[in-house]
Amino acid sequence: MDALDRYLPAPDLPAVPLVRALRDGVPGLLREPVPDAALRAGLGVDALLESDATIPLSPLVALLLNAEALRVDPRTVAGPFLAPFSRLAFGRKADVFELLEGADPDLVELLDARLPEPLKRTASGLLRFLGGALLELAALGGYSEWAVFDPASRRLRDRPVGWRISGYTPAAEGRPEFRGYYQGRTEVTG
Amino acid sequence: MSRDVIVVGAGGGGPVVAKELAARGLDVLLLEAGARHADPRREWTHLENDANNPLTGFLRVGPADRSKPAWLREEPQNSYLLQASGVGGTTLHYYGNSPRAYRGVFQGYEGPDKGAYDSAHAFPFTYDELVPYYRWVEATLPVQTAAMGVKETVFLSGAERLGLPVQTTKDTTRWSYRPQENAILQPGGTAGRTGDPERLRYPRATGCTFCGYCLQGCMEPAGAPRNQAAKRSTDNSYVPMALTAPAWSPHGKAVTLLADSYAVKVHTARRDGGLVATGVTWRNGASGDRHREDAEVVVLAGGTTETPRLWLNSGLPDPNGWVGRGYTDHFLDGVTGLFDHDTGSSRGPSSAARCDFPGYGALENIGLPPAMQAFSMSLSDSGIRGRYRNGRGLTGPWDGRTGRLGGPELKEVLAHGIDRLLNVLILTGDDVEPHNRATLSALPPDEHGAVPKVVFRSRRRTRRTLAAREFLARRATELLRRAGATRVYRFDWAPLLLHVHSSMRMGLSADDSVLDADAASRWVGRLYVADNSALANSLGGPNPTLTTQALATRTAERIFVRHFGGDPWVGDETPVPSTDHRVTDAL
Repeated sequence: MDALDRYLPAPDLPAVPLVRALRDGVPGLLREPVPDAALRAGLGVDALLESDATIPLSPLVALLLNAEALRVDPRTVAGPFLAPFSRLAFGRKADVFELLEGADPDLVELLDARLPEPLKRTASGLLRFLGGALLELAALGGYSEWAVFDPASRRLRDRPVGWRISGYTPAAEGRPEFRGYYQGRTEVTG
Repeated sequence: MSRDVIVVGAGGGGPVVAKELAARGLDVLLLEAGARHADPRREWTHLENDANNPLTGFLRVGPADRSKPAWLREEPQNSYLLQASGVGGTTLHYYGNSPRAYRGVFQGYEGPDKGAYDSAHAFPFTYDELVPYYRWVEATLPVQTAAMGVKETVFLSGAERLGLPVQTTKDTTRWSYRPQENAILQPGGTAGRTGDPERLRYPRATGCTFCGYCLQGCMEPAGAPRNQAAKRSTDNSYVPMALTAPAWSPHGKAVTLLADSYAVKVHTARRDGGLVATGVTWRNGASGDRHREDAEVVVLAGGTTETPRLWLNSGLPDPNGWVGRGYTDHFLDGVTGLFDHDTGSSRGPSSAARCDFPGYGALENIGLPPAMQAFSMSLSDSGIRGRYRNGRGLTGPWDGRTGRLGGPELKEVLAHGIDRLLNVLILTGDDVEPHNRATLSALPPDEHGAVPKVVFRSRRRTRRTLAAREFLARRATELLRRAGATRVYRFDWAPLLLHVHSSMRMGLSADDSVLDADAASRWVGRLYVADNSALANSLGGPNPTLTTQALATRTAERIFVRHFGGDPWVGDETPVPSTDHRVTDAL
């Protein structure tokens, strides 16, 4: 997460207008009205804008997911768990990604209107990229050793859950896997 | 300071030029933006997140200091740009697959399937012209016929039942299947015959140990000198040769290699009425200091995305607008079969068998550890299977519609067993199209200038490209079923940009190419390109590194003859293999 947050070199330029656009524009995109105070709390935008620090990438991504979660189901503005996206079941979460990858034309219009030049017309690309990357990188991280890796010793504290699920056996230096050469041929020429 | 030659980038192509010219006695400076990777046994692990995390992994694209952020590249679409910085570049994570290109993508091809190739963007010389350079590189790396593991026996059993002939030559002239020709040393001694690490130390074990970690950088067998490591990524082959040139070449002069040194500007001057390259400025990643050196010749080899960026950030001319354009990517796709028996998918060198379909592209098996397996099944332009289709969701002989596996389905498929599945990678012979390109991003610049932006209009490719990919997806599915797969998934990958080419292409016409037939810039004298971006097209589908290395050898020879008064050597001399004991001793 830390690496992600320091990834964009100067995040204020795209981030602040995006956050303001979502704060001001999302209520108009919902199927049912949601009280303004509840919506701002649900999205957590005020805390982001009140801070003097630059807005990191990870809360910006969370904000987009939560805005789309409210588009999918306005009732997720409150409830158990911490944020609207986390209050959706798997199928409805998939609906959020359908909107992102679409890319959601209403949200694109909203964001592009608020982005300054030369970033106007970049919102649809951003949403499409995020729609793919969030799922791919979540899969990569989730099935890797990340959660049980000790950076100090560069060793694993436990067997990664992705290895357990997939029945994976790591190799130390190699494996007794050699099965010869196809048709006994060890070289070709010409 | 003035050098004979400055080479920008120590990936698949740059070290080839550096080594060849160092062998001729030229003073060569080789700049690499990323890490030196001088001691893999201390710096690397076999762990996937530690290696391949795009933000923090040791094979990410970023500065040598892993605590510093990775470099941002903008992709305004669902795509995944899989770059790697550091000495070795993307050969650090490549699979060593070293097929030659198809004849049909070269000038003068008159075969009956001529219309099946992107002949409008053919190479500006014949295939036969390149063959001596292929031979030179194949002997240098060296390239060898791949040994089989269990997954190859499964793949090849399916290929046999497609009714294709087996190919027993380096040249590909017809539809066929075969074990790969890989830049991987064949197993010797205990390698491939035991999993006991105590028995797998060099020289008791030589060559490939079948560890299954090609994607995490090769440092096997343990205890091997750097130039004896199994996979012949350039950090294990051409770079050791470049650094030890006096030991194995009678006139050799050791290359100066500077890692963590990001080239930010190519300098030019007007001479005799024309513009010529005169030198390079780079930025040291640790200190932030900028340095400049001049040279008689500058060679760009930062990669298909980075070379256009450096060109444009340097303000170099682009009169026909083709700098960065014509970016090709093999429009890769993944097809995976589930089996009821062991397939050994996660074991052994990552890809050691293939099928070639000249006129369409190629198929090859790819074995993956679990995280990259999960990644490969999550990459799609067809939405989440069973949930949404994103306007696609293709149907065919595979089971269900195309799409990524999400959440519960991904878990169910992986729980079937990482070694009870088999992946087939689809390598499409995709056409050069001007709207697919690398350009500069409007996002804030970094310390190296405006950042690159890679634009792909993937759904608007040519009819031929789209048809070739569908043809190959059907052949891949058929191969898997004939090998015994009980279920077959096709993912319809979003562009996975790892076989990338032709963004600074050489070409027959000055209207749609940046380089002439010698890989020299059409508009700036003494400036050459020697990475995948110099390729005229996507080769018709075969993996690009060998062809880039053959072309880089030819380019080095052209530079030596044209600018340093030397004679050509390829065809007249015998190449020294990178495993030569003189290289080992000098390291």
